[in-house]
Amino acid sequence: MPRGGKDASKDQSTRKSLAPIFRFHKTVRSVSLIGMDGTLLYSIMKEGLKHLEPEQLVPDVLLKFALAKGMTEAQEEYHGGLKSIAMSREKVRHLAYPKTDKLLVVSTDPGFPMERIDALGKLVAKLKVE
Amino acid sequence: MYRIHSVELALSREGTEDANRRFREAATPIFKFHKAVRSVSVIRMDGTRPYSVVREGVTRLEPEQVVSEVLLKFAMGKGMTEAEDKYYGVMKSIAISREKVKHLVYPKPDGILVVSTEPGFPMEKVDALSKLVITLRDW
Repeated sequence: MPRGGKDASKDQSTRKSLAPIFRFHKTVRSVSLIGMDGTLLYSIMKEGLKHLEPEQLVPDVLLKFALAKGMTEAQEEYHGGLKSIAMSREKVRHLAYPKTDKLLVVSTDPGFPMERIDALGKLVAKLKVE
Repeated sequence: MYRIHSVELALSREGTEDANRRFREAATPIFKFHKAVRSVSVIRMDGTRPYSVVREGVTRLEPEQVVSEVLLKFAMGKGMTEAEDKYYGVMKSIAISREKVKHLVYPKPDGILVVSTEPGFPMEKVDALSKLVITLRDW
């Protein structure tokens, strides 16, 4: 779900800026950025892949990650800041990383190795995404 | 061997002790699974019957009165995503990494099981722990 229209050139620059995440592991399917108010800023699929869900549901799915982060913010006092959320399902893994006032969600095939989650988080932290 | 902490207030004293004993026994293999496991907790999807066991010698990071609230939020988080099962398949686990703790949430037939660990718990063990959780008997 790219921006499209007059923002098409920005989509190209976004795709370029996210290239290191797609290169990080062959199982990466898509990268999405959402605001903490649940606004979907973009969702970029790997070339040649299709969403598992109907495209119109993508914003709703991602909104839930923003909700989950918001719901648990009160725990930061006791448990420290959020580093990542990894949701494993039969057909997909969703990996969410906080990025200042946004949340970056990387969706992968189920075979993405769990031990690479922290390393991907370090890569996400270094990337400039907007 | 493990100090029991029940956050359920509604059970009678006798019932609480019996339920605690059964839960402690059921949770023992999870504590044995890895030394970084700090606590094992369960809660039903409707927010009832929360139980939580802490490893002997470990102090909770949060006040005891907020334990059931934290568990309830995990249950709500799982409940929120159930509509997506038809596209993504069923939930296997949710691993939430924070600076001071990892929370591993596993679905059970009528609720969730939450394993809280030290931050150093190896992520590659999350799927193996899932298989252990599936084989645990209910309590």
